[in-house]
Amino acid sequence: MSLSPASGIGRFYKHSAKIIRFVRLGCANRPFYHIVVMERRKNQHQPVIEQVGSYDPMPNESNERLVALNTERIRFWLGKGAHMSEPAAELLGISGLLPVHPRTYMTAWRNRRAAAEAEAAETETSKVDTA
Amino acid sequence: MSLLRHFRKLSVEHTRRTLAGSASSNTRQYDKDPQPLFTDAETQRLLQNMTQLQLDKVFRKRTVSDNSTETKFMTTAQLEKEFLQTIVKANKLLQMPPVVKVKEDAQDALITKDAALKDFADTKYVFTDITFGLRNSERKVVVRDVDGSLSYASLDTRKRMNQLYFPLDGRRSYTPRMFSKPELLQRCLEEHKYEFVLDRLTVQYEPYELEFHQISARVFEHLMESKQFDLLRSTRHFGPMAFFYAWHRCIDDLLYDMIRQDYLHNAVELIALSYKIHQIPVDYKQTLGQLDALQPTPGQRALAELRNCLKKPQEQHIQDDIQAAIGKTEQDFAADEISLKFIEEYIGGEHALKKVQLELAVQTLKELNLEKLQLYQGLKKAHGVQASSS
Amino acid sequence: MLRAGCQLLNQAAAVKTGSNNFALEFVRWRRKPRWLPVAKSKMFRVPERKKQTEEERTELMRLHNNYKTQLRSVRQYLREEVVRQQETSTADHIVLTPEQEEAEFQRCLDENAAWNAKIASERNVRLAEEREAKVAYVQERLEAAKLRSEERREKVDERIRYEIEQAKTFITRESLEVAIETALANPVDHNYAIDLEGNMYRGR
Repeated sequence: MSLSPASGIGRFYKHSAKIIRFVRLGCANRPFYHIVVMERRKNQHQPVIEQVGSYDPMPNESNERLVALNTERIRFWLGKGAHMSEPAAELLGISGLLPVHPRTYMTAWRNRRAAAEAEAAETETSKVDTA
Repeated sequence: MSLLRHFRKLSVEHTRRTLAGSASSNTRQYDKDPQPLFTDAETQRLLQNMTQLQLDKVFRKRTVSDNSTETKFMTTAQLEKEFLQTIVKANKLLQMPPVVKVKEDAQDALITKDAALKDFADTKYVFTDITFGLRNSERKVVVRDVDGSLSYASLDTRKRMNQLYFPLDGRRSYTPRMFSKPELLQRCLEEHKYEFVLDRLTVQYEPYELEFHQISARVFEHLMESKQFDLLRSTRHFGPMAFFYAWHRCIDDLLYDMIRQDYLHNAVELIALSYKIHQIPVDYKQTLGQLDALQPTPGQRALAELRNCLKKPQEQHIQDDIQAAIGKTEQDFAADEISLKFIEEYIGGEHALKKVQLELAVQTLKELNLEKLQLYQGLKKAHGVQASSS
Repeated sequence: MLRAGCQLLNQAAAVKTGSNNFALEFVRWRRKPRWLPVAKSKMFRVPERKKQTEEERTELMRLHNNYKTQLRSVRQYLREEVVRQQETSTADHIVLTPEQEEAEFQRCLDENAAWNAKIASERNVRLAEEREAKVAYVQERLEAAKLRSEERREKVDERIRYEIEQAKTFITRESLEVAIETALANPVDHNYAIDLEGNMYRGR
């Protein structure tokens, strides 16, 4: 039986650009990601160099999103000069391992603004109703 | 979908609350940390002696998938070696689950709080460090909450994550219904499946969890009422049980059972343990020393029992025959005398609760012992065995 | 509706590929080919541009600058950590002090010497056995050869004795005259017949 691509059978050149990124697994309407190190130029479904974590973006029954990170290897690969894809960088920022990514801040303030606007609209309509 | 999740969460919380509520109201809890007293070398020795070592019970057939036995031809020397290894193995199997205090969530769990991250997502994120070679206890689990605060996960979440990423054999990721529904647990207890409940409890919960304490306390209390102490004897749960009774000053039922079954040595140890725990100024060490000098440890006894099967019938001395018929040796009679004295002192003291019952049991035992002693001496005289030869 | 369309497409594809298991059909990830024109319904669609206010842009710029600076220093730290790790780690090789190395070498030597001694003793025993066997074999062969030559000499002697015996009746130069005389004196006639009973019938 052939090894699954997640088991780290990917071949790579010594000086090629590596990247820490997601690989989308799971199925239709049920995403699940492996966080892997692979050559930057490769397609996500090709064999990876190493799997360094997993990310389940669907909240579980206690309303949490679960992330597993092999921090030792992530540190190693970052020290080796591996790049990060933007979602991966965001996730690592949220985890507190790296500085928080600006995009996370942006999402946060956009969400806050949307919530405030929705609330304003709510009060507006209720005022109209009472009037 | 989310509605369903909400309901499920509600039901989980509900069951937990009911269990905790029902258990904490009427079960005994350790009021301070019992760990230093429990792991103390002397206490451990007392508990191990009380547990006894019945090899038949330790190596009995269990409800596991592989119960196979191996048959081998061996020389006597090899067999002797195997016996020693068997005792070591049995002692390993009888290792007691520790009694420690309930661990609370850490107070300074918060790492940082970033107000600018408020509402960055609609759910919490739980990050687990899966670095190779870490123990479950030292693995870091952090939670990023919706309000942007990063903190160490609560014990509950930690356990869930550890079980998710590094599952332990036999432990469920959800609470087994046996533990979540009090009526099911009650049924187990009424059918006297104490060992099964305690085994499963040890697998499912860590010793520092509140549920572990509550359920084990419930089992021990039920056991005190049903008085089926023999079911737990020579299992790994006997020690914690005795410790529990000694801690909560309710050793009398167990003591009564021990006297009835003629385990006087254990009875003395139990009383000594309770003296030790409550720091009652009675010198028990001397009595224990005398008894230890007279009687072998459980390991030695089990070994002797094993060796006994090897003996050929013509090798057996007439004295061994007499001892086998009565079940006691001269040392045993001497030890019984010392222990009875110690036990009577305890019953006469202020700490015994069921004095009448205990006194009756002691009296019965005394009469029985006297009869046995007379029979023993008579038999010896009849066979012409010298008293000093033993 | 959509599903029905898919089924139709599937059937068409199945017909085209001959519906064997070897031709893998990707149904889910089918795309419109690049060379087909823009769909009619999307022909005049102008994608909406997300607008970004000036203050948001400057804020993001600031954050990105911060982030890049921080990440750079973190990376620097991690790089140093990796180098440090590689220098100090003994994960893939064994580090020994000279004394340990010497002791290890000595131990290896001793062990080797012990092995050699053991093998030498075994070999000596084996060689002695082999030598004995060889001597025995040669001895046996020699005896056999001796026996054989003896036999041969016996046979030759026999032959010689026989020949000497025979040689008494030979016709020599001296006895030639006598022999001729004798032959002439006793002519032998071989012209006769013999019947089944052995009776001789002389003719002539």
